[in-house]
Amino acid sequence: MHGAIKDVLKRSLPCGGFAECPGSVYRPDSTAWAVLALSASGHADVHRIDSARDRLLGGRNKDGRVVLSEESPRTIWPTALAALAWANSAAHFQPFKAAVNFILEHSGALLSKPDPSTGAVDRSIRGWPWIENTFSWVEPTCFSLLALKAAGYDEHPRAREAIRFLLDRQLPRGGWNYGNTVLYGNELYAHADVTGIALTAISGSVERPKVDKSIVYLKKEVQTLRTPLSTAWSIIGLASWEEGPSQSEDWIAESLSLQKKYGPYGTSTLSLLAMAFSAKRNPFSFRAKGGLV
Amino acid sequence: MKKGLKTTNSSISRRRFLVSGTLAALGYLSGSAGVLLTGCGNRQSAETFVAKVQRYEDDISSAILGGLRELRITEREIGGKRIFLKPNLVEPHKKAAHINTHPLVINGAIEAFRKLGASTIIVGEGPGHVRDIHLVLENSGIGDVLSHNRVAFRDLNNDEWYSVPNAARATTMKSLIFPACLKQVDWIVSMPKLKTHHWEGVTLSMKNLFGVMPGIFYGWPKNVLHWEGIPESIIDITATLRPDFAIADGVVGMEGDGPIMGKPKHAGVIVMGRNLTAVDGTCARIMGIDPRKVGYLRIAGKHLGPIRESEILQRGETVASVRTPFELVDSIPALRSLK
Repeated sequence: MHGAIKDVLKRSLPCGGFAECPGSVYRPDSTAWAVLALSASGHADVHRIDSARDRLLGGRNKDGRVVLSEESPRTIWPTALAALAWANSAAHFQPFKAAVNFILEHSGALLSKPDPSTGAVDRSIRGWPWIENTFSWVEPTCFSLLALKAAGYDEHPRAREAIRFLLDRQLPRGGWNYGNTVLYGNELYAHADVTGIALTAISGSVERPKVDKSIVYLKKEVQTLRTPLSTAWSIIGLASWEEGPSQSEDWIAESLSLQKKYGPYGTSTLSLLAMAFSAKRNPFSFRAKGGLV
Repeated sequence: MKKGLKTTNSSISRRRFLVSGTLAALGYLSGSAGVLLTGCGNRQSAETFVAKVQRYEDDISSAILGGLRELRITEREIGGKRIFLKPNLVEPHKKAAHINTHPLVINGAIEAFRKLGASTIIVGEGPGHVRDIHLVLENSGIGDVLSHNRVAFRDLNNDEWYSVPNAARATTMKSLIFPACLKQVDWIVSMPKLKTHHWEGVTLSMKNLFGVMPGIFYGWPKNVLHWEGIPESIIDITATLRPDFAIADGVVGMEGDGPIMGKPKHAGVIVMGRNLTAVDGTCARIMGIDPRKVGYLRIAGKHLGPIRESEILQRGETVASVRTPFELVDSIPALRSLK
């Protein structure tokens, strides 16, 4: 796993941030993932981690959002990742607080009346979108919920609503995908990576029977998975429910070896694999230093 | 390499993206959908080729090469060119291969373009439903085809990017953001699957272009485009990107509740052509669907290329000889309206 962390460090840029791929440009999401992985692995160079946190400040708007590109202010999805990266640093308490406030004040677009053509989901429940002024989807809602929890807002009405949103998007047979469940009478397919993310986000917030089918689905699915994003999130999701597979380290090693076939993984992916390697429980269960609550 | 349009973080330009060249091709008309592109697409080139391919184990490379030659695409045009193949890999599942462009069709295209002297071939996709791109490659079988052929793959959801003015403005989007790798190639080939689509009626070579729009800017699914309107977004992307060619996998397509949950439908064809509107019109006709009933094709037929049978020069098999009506489910309004 030291190799994965080493590869992550190779993507650090003179500006303090991280690129997603070798030789590429700064990305806030890659930088946030690198901070999370380096912190989780106990990386000794605290200065480098703080430099990365500082670089994230550069993409911040006055309202607290962190966007992918200044030319695209609607790309708000990195905000929750940045908040998680800042959460463990007392020096970054103010941007963390601003990001959490932005998350609290924003949501995906809502429909008051159910749309029969879109099937089973309830679009009157607030979650968060990838891109401002579009619908809420499972992954950005999960990361926003994790950021709220890091702030100590586990019982905030928006956190409770996010949990309701995620339970609404859980597939009847178990698991989650990007955020649709049943369309025109057909139950859609579950995706292991999103299921792992959702299980991580709602762990500690709901009773196990409410997600048991999803855990069963993921325990079966993870046996055949070796691709990095799905493998890492499956391990983290199951570890969050004390179901971490005993073969995790072997699977992660096999996943890393797929780079021989596909080339170097992105920084986010390597960071996630590093986090999964050491995940004995939910690695996002930390609370911000200083706390907002 | 000529200089191109405003770029966000990439300095390399694709020659086709000349502002002057693009704008010179435009004529505008005002309408409720905004400003639509006229005159884009060479109507003289609106010919399509239909090959009968009964099974994926058949010699698909020769079928595609034969089609390219019938359409007068030769070594002279392809030699030394960098070719980008964009299959549909929206959501791969090992037990539902009919969702995606078959790996052996991609393999056939790689071999055919190599025989014509292409210098580089790149395959890329930005799946709309799945972020684990390696899972997409493993589960679809594309990864093995790429390894075998030593062809690079680009995750279009996560590439660097550049923005260009929206050439058609059928939506409210003033500019479109594309993956940087599309500026580094000479030819873009859309490689869709013949499928019904529960929102748009059909998904073919033009709708397949949703997969070039980076998820980091348009979301998973590409919800920004849904909010802007699916037919209008299809028009904008096609008119702005201006792909060079389409090769549609209709060996086994999808009918019923497509593009994910429908049933496999054997049609036994591969459809090709330079003009994506004409290719989609021909594919629709093969599927037993009147293209004039498909929303985006109605718009495209006025501005981007022909959809009328009489305006498309048909090469290879006739549409009548391969016509295979796809099931249009009554309970889905977008499919019912095609009847």
